[in-house]
Amino acid sequence: MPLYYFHLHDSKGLSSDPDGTMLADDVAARAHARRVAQELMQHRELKTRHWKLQVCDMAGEVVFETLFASVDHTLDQLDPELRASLEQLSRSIGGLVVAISDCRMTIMQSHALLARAEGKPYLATVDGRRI
Amino acid sequence: MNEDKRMSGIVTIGRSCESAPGIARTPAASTEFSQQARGNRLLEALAPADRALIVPHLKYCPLLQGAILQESETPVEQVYFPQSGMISLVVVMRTGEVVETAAVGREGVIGAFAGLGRWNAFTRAIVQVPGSAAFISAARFQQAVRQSEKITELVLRCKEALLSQVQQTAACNALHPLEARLARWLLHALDGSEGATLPLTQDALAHMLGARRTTVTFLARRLQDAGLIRYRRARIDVVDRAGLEQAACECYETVRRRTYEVGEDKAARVLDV
Repeated sequence: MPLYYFHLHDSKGLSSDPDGTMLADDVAARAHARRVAQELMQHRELKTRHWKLQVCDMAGEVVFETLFASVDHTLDQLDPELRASLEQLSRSIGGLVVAISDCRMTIMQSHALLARAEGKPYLATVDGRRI
Repeated sequence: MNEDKRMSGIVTIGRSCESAPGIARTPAASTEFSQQARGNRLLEALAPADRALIVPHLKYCPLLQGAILQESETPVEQVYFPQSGMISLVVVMRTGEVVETAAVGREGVIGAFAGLGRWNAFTRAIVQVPGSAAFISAARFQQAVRQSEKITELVLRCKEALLSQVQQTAACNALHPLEARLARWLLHALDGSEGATLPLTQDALAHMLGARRTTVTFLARRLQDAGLIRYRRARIDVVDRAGLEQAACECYETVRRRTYEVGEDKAARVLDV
């Protein structure tokens, strides 16, 4: 059975899946991604709608992505057009969040680099992620 | 499909530890509250006369992680008073999936309702955090219940406290995000353990919360990134307990207060009379 890796893109950036999960095929992987997304977003849908799971195979190739908004039960009542535009909006927000977090990381890296050059202490990690 | 192989490879000790040589023994003095019998808050809250109906019949066993103390739909044979550790009461579905509905530590008792007569357990009781327990046979416990109104009252109070915990859990599951529930669960487990380290795998956590392991991995990492816990394989260190309480939902505080009130209220009444 193939191993699938479910990497999470949340509001803080990428959180990679170290172990992976053995699943029968892509269909089972999609079902798993849907469940995981729903468990992560349950009762806080509004804040997590722009998160996504990136599912990779053993070679590291992206098989598919699951946007949380696309599996959000609380949106099931919406008419399809409205829902589609809400999903698009969530996707854009997700992209924006990634861009902002990348910018922030670049700024912190520059600060760290400058401090290191001057032999001063510097911030090495933030939120458990190395700068 | 490791997701479906729930709770396989578990050793059942429960009854067998009674006959294990060197583990089970009865304290010599019947009325004296021996050091060995200490640790369980309910036993400690009993008046000496009531305690004397139970303590001489107590035996002791270690609570090994994964051990099953009572099985769903089977008669309760022993009543356990945990002295440390934490035991989950889980519902077992026909598919074999298990989900926790309540957790009991040294502030509680497992199988107490059997004191009112033969009783089939509704849930499986499984040790999550290892520790130790005192136990008494259901038949002996029934005799103690018949002889003491106070002990009967204790059984009913414990049942009510358990019901309250299950009610809170039902509301919690319906309203609170999994991340808050994970924090709450870790705090419960911490209350039952000695230090700040919990010997728990993420698989066990996933089973208890009824979630996928992938999900629990991400949630645990978020708590770790926030500086609240540190986890390695099969072990979780709580670094910032106050922070974890902030991350948990209100249900942790509510359940703890109510459970402790059972013991304390009981103690107050026993002393008054």
